[in-house]
Order: sequence, then structure tokens, then C-alpha cells
Amino acid sequence: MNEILQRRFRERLPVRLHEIEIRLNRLEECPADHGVLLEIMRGFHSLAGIGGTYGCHDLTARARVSELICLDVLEGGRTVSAADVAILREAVLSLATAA
Amino acid sequence: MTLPVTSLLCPSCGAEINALTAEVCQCIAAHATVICPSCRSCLCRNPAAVSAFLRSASSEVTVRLNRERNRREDPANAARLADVLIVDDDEEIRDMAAYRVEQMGYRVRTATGAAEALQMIEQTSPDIVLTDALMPLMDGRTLCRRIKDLNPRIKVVIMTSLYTAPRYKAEAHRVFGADGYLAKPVDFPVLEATLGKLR
Repeated sequence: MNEILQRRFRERLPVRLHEIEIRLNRLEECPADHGVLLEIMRGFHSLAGIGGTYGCHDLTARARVSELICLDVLEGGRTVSAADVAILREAVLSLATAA
Repeated sequence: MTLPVTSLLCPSCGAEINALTAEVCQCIAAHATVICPSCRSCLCRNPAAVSAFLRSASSEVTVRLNRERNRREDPANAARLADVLIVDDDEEIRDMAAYRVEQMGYRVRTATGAAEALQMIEQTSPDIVLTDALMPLMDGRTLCRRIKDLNPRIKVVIMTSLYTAPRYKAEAHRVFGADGYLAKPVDFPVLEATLGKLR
């Protein structure tokens, strides 16, 4: 059972990351759209939770940082900057190799 | 003269429950006695009908009922068989948590969100609810408050990867009535200890 769950987690990780990338594209087009940013934050939040659950603590740590970047923008009520998006994109790339 | 009540109709799915199919209830309501074998809903909301049915039903049902009561009243068994409802919108976390909690010796059910969880709790009360904090539509802390309004005896543990500061933990207890607060990713030995304290 554990092996089946682990395999499913690894198979789905690229799908999860791709979903975040699609949302980052949308965010780039509308940097003030906090709805999209919230979805992105949820994506990272999910990865942060799931990584450690499946023993990938590095993935959790990196996803947590990204989640907090999103939270900082949301709580500050500011428009996301190009630099923020670039950092989040880099995070997605690094998460692909962290599992 | 009162006519014997030889069967019950499940108010949820309409299935007929008779002496052969009736199962003893495993929810925590003291008057609850029978669950529907088809949809697993508890008939604890209709104690008069259940009581009449049990008076008329075969001795087999009564024996099963007594056996279940004895098993629940035995502290060791009650602890081992505690019913845990895991609520998380993330399938992978939900399934892994269910797998691990089952391995700890609990009976586990899962819900994909707060609405489904509340529906399940209304039918059969779990002993412990383990819920994610951040979920769409209704978050785990609001779910916790709703559960406590429904049945304060149900213990609720909130899992979160975001609000881990002690002030959030205190708030979860004070405002939402949470009995436990765990950081995600869940450390399973810590979870086991937390569940052990609550049962």
C-alpha cells in the first residue's frame, strides 16, 4: 500500500507543478489578480504538506518558502512584482528535482 | 396490545432493516443502537423506533448489541477501535494519513472537505476528527467550530503547514475549540501520540 501511494505521489508531482506554472502564466498577465495568487499559494501549501508526508522534506522546505512569498503579497495587499513571479518560477523548477 | 416491530426503514436510503440485517451502532450517542447495513447511516435520531424494533427483534440482534456495548465499554477495546475521520481536500495527503492512522489501530473514514465531513458526522459521529486547516469553501478551524456545535464530545485536531505559531494554536483552542493542533507535514509518531491522548 505504501509503495502504491509513494508511486502515485511521484507520478502526480509534475502535474501539480505544471498546474502552478499555468497559474503563474495567468498571474504574469494580471499581476493584481489575488484570486490566482491564492490558487498558487494553495498549490505550494499542498506541496509543502504532501512533501513531508511522503518523506521529501527538501520539497516541503522549498514549497513552504514559496507559500510564504505568496502569503506576504496577499497579506500586504500589494500587486505581485515581476521579481516575485521569477522567484516562484525558479521555485517550481527546483521542486521538480527535490522529490 | 402493541404490535411487534419486525423491521425498520432507513430514513436515509429507504432500505429495510430486519433482525438478520441489523447491525449494532458504533456511534458515540448513548441511545444509538442500529446502523443501516446498506448506507451505514445511524438511526440514532429515531430512538423510539429503534427501541421498539429491538424489543421485537430476534435475540440474535440483542446479543450482538450487548456484545458491541461490552466491547465499547472495555477501555482497551474502545481505545483500539476509536473512529477517526480524516478531512483533507488533498487526496494524496488524505490517503497517506488514512493508511498510517489505520496502521495505528484506528478505524478510519475520510472526507474530501468540510461539507462532506459534516454530512458524515451527522450520520455517524466519529471519536476524533483530523482536519486540514486550509481547505476551499470552509477552512478547518470553521469546520472545528461547526463540529463542536454539533457534538462537543468529538475531539478535533487541526493540521496546518501555515499557521504554526503558538498564537494560532492558542486561538484554535480558544476561538474554535480545537483539542489538538499539528504542524504539517505531519510527523506520524507525534500524530500517534496526539491521538492516543485524545481517545
